[in-house]
Order: sequence, then C-alpha cells, then structure tokens
Amino acid sequence: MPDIEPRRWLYLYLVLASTVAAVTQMAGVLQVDGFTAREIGILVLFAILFAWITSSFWLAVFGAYARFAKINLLPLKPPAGASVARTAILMPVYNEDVAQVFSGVRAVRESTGADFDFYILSDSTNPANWVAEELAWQKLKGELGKEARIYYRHRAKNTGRKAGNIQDFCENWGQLYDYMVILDADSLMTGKTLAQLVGLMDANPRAGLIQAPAQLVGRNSLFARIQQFSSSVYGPIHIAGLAYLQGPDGNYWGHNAIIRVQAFMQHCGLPRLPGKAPFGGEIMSHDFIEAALLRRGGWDVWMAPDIGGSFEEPPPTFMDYLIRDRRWCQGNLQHLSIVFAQGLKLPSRLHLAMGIMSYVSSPLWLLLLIVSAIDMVSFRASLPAGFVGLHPSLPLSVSHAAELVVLVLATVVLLYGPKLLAVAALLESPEATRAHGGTGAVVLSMIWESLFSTLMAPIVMLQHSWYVVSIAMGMATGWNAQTRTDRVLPVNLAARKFAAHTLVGVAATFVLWRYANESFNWFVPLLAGLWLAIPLVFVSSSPLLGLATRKDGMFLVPSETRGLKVLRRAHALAGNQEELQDEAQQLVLDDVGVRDLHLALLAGAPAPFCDPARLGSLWARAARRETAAFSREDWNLLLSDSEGLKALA
Amino acid sequence: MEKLRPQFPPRGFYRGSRGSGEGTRASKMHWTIHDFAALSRFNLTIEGALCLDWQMDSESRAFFEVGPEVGTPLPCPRPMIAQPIIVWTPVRIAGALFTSLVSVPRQLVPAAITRRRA
Repeated sequence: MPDIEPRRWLYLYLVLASTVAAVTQMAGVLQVDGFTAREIGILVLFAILFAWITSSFWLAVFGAYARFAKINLLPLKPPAGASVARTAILMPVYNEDVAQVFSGVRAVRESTGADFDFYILSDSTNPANWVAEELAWQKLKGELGKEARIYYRHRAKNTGRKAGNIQDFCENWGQLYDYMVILDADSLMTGKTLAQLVGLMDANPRAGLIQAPAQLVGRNSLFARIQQFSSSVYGPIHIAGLAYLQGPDGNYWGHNAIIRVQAFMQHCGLPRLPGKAPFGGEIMSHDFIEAALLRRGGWDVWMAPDIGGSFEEPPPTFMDYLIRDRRWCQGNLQHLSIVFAQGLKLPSRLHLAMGIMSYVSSPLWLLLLIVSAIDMVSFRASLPAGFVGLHPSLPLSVSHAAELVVLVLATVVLLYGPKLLAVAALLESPEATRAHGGTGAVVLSMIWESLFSTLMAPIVMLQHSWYVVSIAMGMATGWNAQTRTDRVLPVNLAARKFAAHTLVGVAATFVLWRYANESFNWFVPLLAGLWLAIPLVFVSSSPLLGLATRKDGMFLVPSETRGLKVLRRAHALAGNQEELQDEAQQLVLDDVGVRDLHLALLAGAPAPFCDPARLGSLWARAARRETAAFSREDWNLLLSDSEGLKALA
Repeated sequence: MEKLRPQFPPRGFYRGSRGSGEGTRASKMHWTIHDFAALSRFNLTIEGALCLDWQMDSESRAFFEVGPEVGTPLPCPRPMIAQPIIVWTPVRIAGALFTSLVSVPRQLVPAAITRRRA
C-alpha cells in the first residue's frame, strides 16, 4: 500500500490539530485569573482525553470516507483456484457449555464440508465438562462418520491459558498444517468465508494473519440486542477506518482469524513476563502481542472488513460484559511492559497503546470530573472581590459561556458524530437498510441506543476505574469461563453488584447540588446513569424485553431479518443436545463404555503427579462410591490416572 | 544411489601440494583430512536423501491414520521457542546509544582491501 503513509500523516495531523484547538479554547477559559496547579492538571487531563475521543472520531471519519468512496480495504491478490493447503480449525475451550461448543463445531463443519480438520482443544478443569466433552466428541464422530477429521485433545494443566493451548497444538500438530483458524466457543464462520481466507493466504505468501472481523449475533436479551445493533451499524465504519489506516500493520483479535502456522510457530512463542501477576507472569491478552511479533518477524497482518461470514455472540448481560472486561483490562494493562519492547513496529505499539488507553481513559475521565467539580466548588467559595493595593475593587465578571458551549458541542459531535456517520453510510445502501428494518427503524434504534449507551457510560467509567486501580494495587484475576447463555439477572444480584455505583451517584448528586448548584445540570446525564444502575442492569438482561423490541422492529440486525443458516443450525443442534454435563464424571466409574473411551483418549498422557497414598485413598473411596465430597481436583486426579482406571475394569 | 558414491582422490593426491610428503606427519596417515571431508559429504548426501523421503509433505496423511477412539493424529513434535521481549528502558537506550557512538565510526571507515595472502 504505497499511499498509506500520507493517510497516516493526515490522520495524525487532524487528531493533533483538533486537540490543539480544543486545548487552546479550554486554556482561554481557565487562564483568566492565571493558572493554578489544579487548572493545569485539568488542562493536561482534558488534552489527553480530548485527543483520545478525537482519534476515535477521525478514525470513524476515515472509515466513512473509505465506505462512501468504495475503497478496496484489502488490497491483496484474489484467490486463484482451489487450494491444496491443509487448514485446521481450532476451538480452544475452557469449561464452556459443551452443547454450544459441539453444535458450533458441527454447524461450521456442515458449512465447510470435508475440506478442513477440526480440533477441539480442551483445557477444561471441571471434570464433568471433561467427560461430557469426550462423550459429545464421540457422538459427533459417530454422526459424521469416521472420515470426518474432528479431533479432541484434553490438557491436564492449562499452562499458558488460551495461548498455551494453541501453542500446545502447534508444537504437536502444527507441522501437519499450512494454516490454522482460531474460533472461540461462541464463534461461527461460514464455509465460504473460510475457503476465501485460505485462498487469500495461498495467493499472498507474505500474509501471516488475516483477521475476519466478527459480527455480533444470536442473543435475545435487550442488552445483547443493543450490542448487536451497535456492532452491525457502527462497527463497519470503525473497522473500515482501522483497515484503511493500518494496511498490513493490522491487529489480531484472538479468534475468527486465519494464521500461517509456520510464521506463527517461528515468531509467536510467548515468554513469561518478569515479575508476578497482574503485570508479570503469563501474557493474558496474547492476541495483540502475537500480531506484533508477526509484524516484527516481517509478516503482514491484514484485516478483511468486507469478507463477511464471521460471527460471534455477545455477552448476554451487562454484568457478563463487565466480567469479561475485567480480564481484558488486566490483559491490556499487562501490555504496559511490552509496548516499549525492542523491535516492534510503530503501528503495533499504537495498537497496544490504544488497548491500554481504552481502560485507562476511564479513571482519567473520573479524575477530570472530580478535579473540575472541586475547582467549581472552590471557585464559588472564594470572595467575589479583588484588591488594588489596599483598596477593594469590584471584579469585572467575564462570561465564558460561549467558549464552554463550543467545547461541549465539540465533545458531543466527537461522541455522537461517528454514530451519525455510520447510520448515513448504512442508509446509503437500500439492501443494508432493509436488513436493519428500514430507515425509520434504524434512526429510532440509533436514538434509543444512544440514550442507553449514555446512561451506561458512567457505570462503565466507575467499573473500569475500579479495575485499573485494583490491578495497579496488584490484585490479579483468573481467566474463568464466560457465561454465554441468555438469562434474566436476579434483582438481588443486580442490586448487590451495582449498589456501590448508585451510592456514588447519590453522594455525587448531594455534593454537586449543595456546592455547585449552578453547574448541576451539566452533570445530570452522568448522574442519571448511576442513579438508574440497578434497574438498567436488571431490565436490560431480560430476553423477553429483547424479543419484544425485536417484535417492534427495534435494534434489528441482518441475522434476525434475513436469517443466518450457520447460526440457525448451531442453535438447533444445541437445542437437541442431551444434557450430559452434570456429574458426567461419575459415568467413568459406572459405565464401562465411557471408561473405555476416556482411557483411549487418555493414552499417552502423563500419570498424575501426586502423593500415591492420597491417590490410593481416593480410589478406595471411589470404589465405595463415596464420591459426593470429591473436589474438582480429586476428580481430575482420578480421571488422569489411567492405571487406576484400568484396574477398575 | 550410484551417483551418491564418493569419488575419493587417489592416495597421495593432496600431498603433492605440500611438497614431497616424505617425512611429514600427514604422509604417515592412512586417510587425509580431504578423504574425511569427502566421507562427510557422502554421509550428508545419504542423510539428506533419507530426510527427503521422510519429509512431511510426501507422507503427512500417515499421521492421520488413527483408530476410532484416539482423539488426535500422531503428534509431530516441534517446539515453539519463546520470543524475547526486551523492553527499552532508559539505561538500555543509553547503552545502545553509547554502543552505536563507539561502533559507528569504525563502521564508516572505508573497507581496506589487502592482497596479501593470509
């Protein structure tokens, strides 16, 4: 892409120019009676945060331009003929819903035909999941026939988490494949898209990775449907903007991407970072780092914005969304120690920095609000008089309303302008407009979505601020399985989790009402979200309300209006799956067939590392069927002990 | 396989370049170093041919001949090496700057060509 450099310079210029203009305006307001230390702090915070939202705005503008001008955002050679490459589709799972995993694999397999090999790479630590996965795998193999190349592997220890799981695959079977496609437990891709990705990799030998952006689909809760609408309407211009500016310096989002195995094996072995978690230890958000290492190794990393056929399901509730954000926050903050690593390309550093900033911006916003509020309160507390020598003089009041209104309007344009641009880009295509329910539905949905996201923003700000502070204090989190099924959150759970947000909102209201009454109205949009945190979280988790809005034509996305074969098939298969998961581990002791299957799959695995006396005691209790009090660890020891299992027979 | 047979030079062939060879240590050896080099080349050729036969691309599907209840193909192990992630710290930047300040002048010196035999 020879013309990519001017684009990048123009983008940088626009971001800097907008920021300088806004900061100058702000400085004019603050400097009337000279700068205090607090005002300098406000100005610095304002500059950082304004640059941050400006960068997002101009990215959307570039994306909208690329869409309107119909620019080819993936300037690669097109696929030439049928591919003879071998491609493995990997689904790393960790205590996931077994029915969803295997129905997803089967739906994708039916879409691709026999051209791809599938690997279900289990790191499940829940013994019930482990055995249920084995049974589901056997059932799937039985249904698809022996020729179906669907493989299952379980690791006793999930060293390196997901990145370690993929690495284990590469080290053992990577040499057998040219490419691998990574899917998440809730990811789906169509056969056509997968074949196209393979063709692109064949035709472009410098391409190390091609990311197919995933569209959010398949959930019914109100929260998830709003997310799906945002992703479908606003997502394309942001992704187009990214693709337009990054070119071959793209990023990897962890799944729904095709990777050249040889390049990945050569360059993407991840080290342990020095120090302890949360900043040291295993790299949690591995995807950004792997993309950066591929670029460092000289391979191209592309984004394919228009490829389509790539889907994932959003978190069903706001609470699940925040739980996922906690992990991502820790993973992204860990990149603080990598962003200045030697040899990385500048765009890779920018990807890392933007990932960090997406979480660090929240405490900075909070700090800016607090400092501004203190400044307002203390300004009011000072005497409205000045002195010339010893003589009192009346101050001349200077109004800054005009400058402040300009700044507020600019901020509103920066925050909501991309949404308007995205809707304009969507409405340009009659087909896309129809797929979203028509012009009226799109505009109305956008207004409701904007209201919803405005109310949610302060809750997210508080939560992210807590995450950043807790991580900075050294509080690490694990990498637990996500809840991926629609459900209404119990009211008491929502109340317990979001009482703190409501209290903060009430306290802030009191302070601002009492001490900064004139400016109170400016804070209402922020405070309203906090007051309503509990009902918002509860109501938005409702699948019934989500379906009701769908019936009314709100937040419609193409997968709902046109249907999506691969998704429909996955849901139908998941609905037909037997409920195997609860206490499935008991079957290994009770059912010879299940035990034989488990032993066959255990072949070659190392014996469990534990005290033989403890293992003996566990087997003695298992023989007496006193397994009710067994912990997960106990069960995993028994299930890993092939000698003991053979002795049972 | 005929082509791969090493062509050993006649005994004493290399001694000519070192004079008569009479009384030298090399002349008393049964094989010269050149003979060993030829033998090594032969071994490498044979091993290369065998490696070619064993290469994944020709027989990779052999790894997939699995029984009905074995979860995966035969593993074909190859380790992934952890890549170094070394952060630029002020000390390292200063060190790199110092190193380049010291080494660049030497690198900029025009290469001198000497025709003297080593």
